[in-house]
Amino acid sequence: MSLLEVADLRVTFSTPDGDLRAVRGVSFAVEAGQTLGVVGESGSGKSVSVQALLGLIPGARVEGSALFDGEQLIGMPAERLRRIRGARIGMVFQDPLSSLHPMYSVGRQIAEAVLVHRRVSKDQAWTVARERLEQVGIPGARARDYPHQFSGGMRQRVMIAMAMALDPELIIADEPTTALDATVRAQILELLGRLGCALIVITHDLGVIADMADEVMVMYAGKPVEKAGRRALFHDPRHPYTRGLLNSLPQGKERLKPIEGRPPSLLSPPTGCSFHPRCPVRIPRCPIEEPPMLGPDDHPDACWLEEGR
Amino acid sequence: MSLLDVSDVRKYFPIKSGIFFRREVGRVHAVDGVSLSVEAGETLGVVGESGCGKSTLARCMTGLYDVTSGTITFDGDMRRDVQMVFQDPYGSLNPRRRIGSIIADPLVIHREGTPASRRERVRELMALVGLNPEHYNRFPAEFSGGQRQRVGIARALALNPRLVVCDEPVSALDVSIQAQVVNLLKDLQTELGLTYVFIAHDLSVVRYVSDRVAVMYLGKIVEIAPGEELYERPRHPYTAALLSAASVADPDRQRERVVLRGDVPSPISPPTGCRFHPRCPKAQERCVVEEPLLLGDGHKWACHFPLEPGERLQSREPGQ
Repeated sequence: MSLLEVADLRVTFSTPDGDLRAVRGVSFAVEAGQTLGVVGESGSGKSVSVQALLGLIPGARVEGSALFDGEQLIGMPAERLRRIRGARIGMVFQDPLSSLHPMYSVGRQIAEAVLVHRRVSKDQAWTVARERLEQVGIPGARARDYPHQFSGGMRQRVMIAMAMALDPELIIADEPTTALDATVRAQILELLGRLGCALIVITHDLGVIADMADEVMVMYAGKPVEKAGRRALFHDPRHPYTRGLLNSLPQGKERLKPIEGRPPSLLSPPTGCSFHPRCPVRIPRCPIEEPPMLGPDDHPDACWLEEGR
Repeated sequence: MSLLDVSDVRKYFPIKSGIFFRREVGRVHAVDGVSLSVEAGETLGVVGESGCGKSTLARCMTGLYDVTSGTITFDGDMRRDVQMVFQDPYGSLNPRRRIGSIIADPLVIHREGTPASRRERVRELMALVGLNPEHYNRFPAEFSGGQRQRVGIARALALNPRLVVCDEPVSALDVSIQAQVVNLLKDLQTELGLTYVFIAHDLSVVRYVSDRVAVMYLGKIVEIAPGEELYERPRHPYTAALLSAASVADPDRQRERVVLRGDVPSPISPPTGCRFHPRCPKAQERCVVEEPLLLGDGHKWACHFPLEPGERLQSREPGQ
């Protein structure tokens, strides 16, 4: 059994212009100790799909199934979900400054998380906080400092220390390096790489995926279009969108090959395959029928061309 | 003569404190003694991490900031012939004004033509950057990020400038859209004979567009060289570290050991000597006291102990 098994997840927002279907049927599994990379551009639903599982998106309609260690997360009472969140599933967000409380010391914020979930004394909780900070390379003596006294990279370390506070089985990192500079980014990736627990990394940066994912899910317009092992994805990309994405990156001095057009509106996604208006290899069937995941189990993609292979 | 000459330019921002007297308590040394030249027809890339002063330098080059000291000489009329494209396609367009009137702004300011001829010119510009001229009367909110960036480019081109300074022109855009805008900038350069200063933190995009690349760290240029030379044979340890930390979409690349510890120091009180010495794996005593000069011809670097061509930067354990 996988640590996390998500099946046919759907997330819908009601807007004055009609239903916005941000996530339209996502299935994936994360094994213990494994790193799943979720990659896509803005509006692909990559963040929403993961945050929705944890009940972090109020006002959204969430349907489908998400089994964490055998327990159904969708529809779980908020109080119970809160026990899992933080204790067994840790989270690291893109912007550490807005995720940390500016008026509490970082040690207190980590200790508080421990106190909420564990029956320990205040002193013990502070000891855990200092230990975790040491683990991410921040001197324990700085536990009494406030978020503004840390640099961006250090704050992201604090966030990781907090996510690790209770030895979770799974950590979800949503664009963990996007707000960071290159040299600091490398430090944070190295740190995330040696956490040891299962990890879901959500990113738009193919470099992060190439660096640390075991398995990769590529998302477009609220659906996965391709799933593969890391090396297979880069060496043998199958879906035209994945290929387009990889081709958009500069390679030597050759003229760049962008994907024409732009991502569709989720209020009225195109009929059939949602990538067809931008797809260079579309066939008559594409605008009519939506392709399911086709091809081998270890490297499926949602493209009709897969049937001819 | 070069198209643009930047000579020992400094730009400091005062830090003020106190309610009544607003006395100056310090200065941010955003750009601290930069000299470089931009030749007609080339693309000069400028890379560096946040706070290195690359955007401030851009604004000095376009005359948006007065420099604290030093000189900037442009071969022509700076106010007409130097234009700028900004990073944020959302913040740099007034949401209450129509696209056509935004693009026409430089023409109005410089009293070019009649209202009718300006409208004609705006349509021409819109077609040039790949926008539908019929969308003249739309508002920015009706456009996507990539299209807005095209509006920003059209506005910058309105007066037929010779030098366009692009400050992170594609970093707010998605990967697939980035490539569209980069291609557009390249095509416009060929078609109109433009010179670019291209500022970005994405090393692979800079490599792709630039003829020469300058690397900035804490307000100074630490290395400048023809693009391929810089990427293949970096001499300054910071350049080497930056390149090794860059995001590369290649699953077979051995993850380099992280060679740099810590963060960029504050530009309010930059380190003595070489500004990179507290983080530099090769630093020695001399680096703490003596500031290295940017020397060399063609390929210049500011380092007392540069890497030999082909030498790899080794990380140094903390405390060593």
